[in-house]
Amino acid sequence: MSPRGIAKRIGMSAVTVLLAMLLTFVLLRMTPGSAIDSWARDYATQRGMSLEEAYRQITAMINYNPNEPLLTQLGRYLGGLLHGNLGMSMIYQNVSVNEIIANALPWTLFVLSISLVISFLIGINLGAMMAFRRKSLLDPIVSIYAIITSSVPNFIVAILLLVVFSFQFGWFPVNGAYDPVVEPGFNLPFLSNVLYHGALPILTYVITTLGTWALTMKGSAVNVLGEDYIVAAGIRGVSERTLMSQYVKRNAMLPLITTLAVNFGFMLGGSPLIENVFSYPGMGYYIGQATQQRDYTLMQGLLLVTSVAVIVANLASDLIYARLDPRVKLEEG
Amino acid sequence: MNLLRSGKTWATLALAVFVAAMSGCGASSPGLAARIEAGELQGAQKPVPDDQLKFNKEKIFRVLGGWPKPPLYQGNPFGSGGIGDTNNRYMFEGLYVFIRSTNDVYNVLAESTEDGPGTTTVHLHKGVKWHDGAPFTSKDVWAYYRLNNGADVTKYLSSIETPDDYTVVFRWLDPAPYPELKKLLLAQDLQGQIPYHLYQKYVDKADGLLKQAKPLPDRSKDGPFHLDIPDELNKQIALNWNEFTRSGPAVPVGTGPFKFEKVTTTDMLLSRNPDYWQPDAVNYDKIWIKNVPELSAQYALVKSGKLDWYDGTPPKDILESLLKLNPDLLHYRMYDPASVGLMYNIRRKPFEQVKFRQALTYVFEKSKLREIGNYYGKEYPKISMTGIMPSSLESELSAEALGKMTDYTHNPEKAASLLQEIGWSKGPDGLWRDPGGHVPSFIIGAPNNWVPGVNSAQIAAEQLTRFGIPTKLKAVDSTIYFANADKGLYDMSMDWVDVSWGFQNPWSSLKVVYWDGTKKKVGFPNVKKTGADGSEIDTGRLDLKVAGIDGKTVDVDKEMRRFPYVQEESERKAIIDNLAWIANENCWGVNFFQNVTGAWINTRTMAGNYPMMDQIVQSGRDMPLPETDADRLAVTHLNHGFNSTFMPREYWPR
Repeated sequence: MSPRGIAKRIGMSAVTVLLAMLLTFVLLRMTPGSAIDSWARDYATQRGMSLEEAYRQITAMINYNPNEPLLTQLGRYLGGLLHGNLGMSMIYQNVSVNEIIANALPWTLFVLSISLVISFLIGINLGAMMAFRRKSLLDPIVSIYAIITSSVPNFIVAILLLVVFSFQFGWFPVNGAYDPVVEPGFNLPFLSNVLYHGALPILTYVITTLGTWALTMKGSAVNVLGEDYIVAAGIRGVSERTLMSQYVKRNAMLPLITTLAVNFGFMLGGSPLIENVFSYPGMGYYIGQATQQRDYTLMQGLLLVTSVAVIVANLASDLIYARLDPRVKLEEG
Repeated sequence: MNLLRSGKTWATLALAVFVAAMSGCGASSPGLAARIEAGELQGAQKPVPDDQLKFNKEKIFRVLGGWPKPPLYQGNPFGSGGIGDTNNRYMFEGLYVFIRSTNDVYNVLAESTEDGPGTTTVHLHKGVKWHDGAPFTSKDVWAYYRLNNGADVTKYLSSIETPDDYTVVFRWLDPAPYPELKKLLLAQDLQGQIPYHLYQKYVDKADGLLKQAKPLPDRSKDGPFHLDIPDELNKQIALNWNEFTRSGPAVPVGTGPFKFEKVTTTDMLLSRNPDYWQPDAVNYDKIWIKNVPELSAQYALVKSGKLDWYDGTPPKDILESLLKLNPDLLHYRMYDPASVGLMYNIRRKPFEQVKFRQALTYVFEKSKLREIGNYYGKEYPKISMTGIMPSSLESELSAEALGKMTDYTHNPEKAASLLQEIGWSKGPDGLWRDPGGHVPSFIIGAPNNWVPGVNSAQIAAEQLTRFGIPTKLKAVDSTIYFANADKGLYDMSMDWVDVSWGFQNPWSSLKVVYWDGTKKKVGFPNVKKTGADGSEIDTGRLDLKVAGIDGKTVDVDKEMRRFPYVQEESERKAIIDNLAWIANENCWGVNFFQNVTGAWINTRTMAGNYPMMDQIVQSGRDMPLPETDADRLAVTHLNHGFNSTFMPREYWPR
């Protein structure tokens, strides 16, 4: 891709980020309810005062004016963003959104990057085999598996795994990211404990995404198999194994790279439902909490990170794809 | 798409079968019933010596709880999100505890109490220490109320004095509340939560700000310590409070039997406080609290015996399944001082007409509402909504007042006749028409995450529709529901009714009706006054004058305000009779059923003198509602006296 093409794509991504940020900001403020409402209820109960009085005191306390013009709020938000400051949580006032994200992101990254790599690797291999041996039993088995796992909500799978492996057999912990008895740090007991706790969330993601990768790969590989160069390679006497790994799989994988990159971006948002089932302290958990409490600043921060991740991943996939596929270079040229 | 749909159905069925099958796989050693039948639990039980512990050798009490997950966690119980209600009672103490359902008050940090003319003098236990080693003194109690000056009791106090480190004198305004109420007002607070040595800066500032306020001219207005606090001063007090709530410490510092040890997103460890002033009252070395929000996961933990105690009554089928699958589990039921009910919005037509509200009330078949809402609850068909917990109606109201109350037992003919009286007619299509010939349709609002409320509201809507008044349920996101209902956006709103959130006293539950939650949903009018600029100002004060039990007009707000100061019990009873009768006659809402909640004990790991031991085998470990006062108290203790006591001291590891 030419430098001009790269600059164009980066520019488009920047505009998309800006639009996503503006949309998030405006849409969140259009949602019904307010952080003050539920807070005022708690405050009134806690301090034995009327709801009106609690509401009045809270708005005074946090210097929040729900009737402040949207543009003024936006200006303040953008000003903070320019300094890398996502603001303070409206509910947990002494904690910054940056701090919450810094705590949540590693857990989500840890679980989802491992599960994405595992499911992708297994999925593409299964897909390639299905395409290559279309009359074997593998094809219908994996297809049925994919239909089932893509139609069952992933949190149901999570509950199922929890019931069987944690409650019934006791092989895995019930929830959390690590045991309170281990000392967090770069030490073997902690790392192995983290892996042990992450096993079921990882397995959930792998089970629920594996089939889709396999089916997508199969579709792509079937297309590749019909190409002239594959037929020619077969006639030239290239072995089946080499044909599959060097010719079919490599080429069929290309369209999946984009999906992989976009999935990587999406996964930074975590899965509120799965993280809730396992009480896993990732991004999804905090998105759920912030939405429930109408913590606008926290919601904005979390959604901004997710949007930026998706957009950047998309950009990265474009750039990588251009390097992997010479035809894209030609188009850009 | 069809394939996907069939796949989904298949998968869901398979999941249900699989979970059921797997859940049945576990088996336990001889359960509680077998142990009782073998005579193992005869006579009074005593704590087991450490070397004889079999099933809980580490002496850990395992329960569920909630807290803001790190990095949101902090140690100030007044900070945003708090430290978790469940965890409060293990680490913090008050001068007293009260049992919410019985109003029994016990001394805790107070060693003794003397009532004098206009004063209550509390002598504190000596030798009590905060978890950081500082002594607990009278200055801490004073600090609690000077900083937390929104606490209910401060409206009735003129000052708090600390003549020495272990004596606190509460000086009451004249007139003072009647003696029992004074004690309950003090007992509902956890005074050991604001260590002066940690929060001196904020306490002294709050004290200084309060000193700037002038006394109120009379008793027509409330203020902390009878002070008239202008808006600007109030703002400074609120800002100081906000700074206090953000000031930490990082971990809780209380005086309670357990100290904070560690917290993660899902687990909290508390360890026995070695300096606790009542060492013999602590039978466990640690409390391990798990944060598991998912209900299905909670039930699985109960079933697999991974908890020692669990709070709540699941639906009937799940409850029976848990008891069947784990023979060590024991379930107790108890009345909840709260009922599930519906309130009519009198701001909307035709709900402003009492006969219309009464007609609708006659339509409801409460047994059906209860069966779906909470199978174990109890319906009271005769009443609409009284402001009194139904299970204590007979003890709180006179027979005469009860006898004069309208009986709202399901009666569709009566409903039809009342509607006809106000000009409504039933069309050939079976639908009722208002006097203008219009067929109305109504909405019942309910918070979407409140299962008993949503389920019973759905049945209520169906019952009204079947009667000929088309009604739909609108289950609304709970974060916006209450604000919407308070603004009067629904024709009928679901919420807890006839409920007392603090101590269980008729005045406390009537406050909810006339001053708090019910008032807003029903839409009672407030007194209005004209501002300096001629605009109308809502004073927030109830403006409700209605006929009382004797036919004379009653100013409800005035009666409510008078109640705390009436020293004669018979006069107080007369006020309660009148206000409850008014609520029932005006039919501002309907009490569907009184909630019944429960507590679970894992008897494999937790030993003690289980209440109603003689009925355990016969009841199949699903204990009936207690009938005697002693049993009621013992069972209520099992539920931490509804969040006010530290329960594990009455039980021990097995």
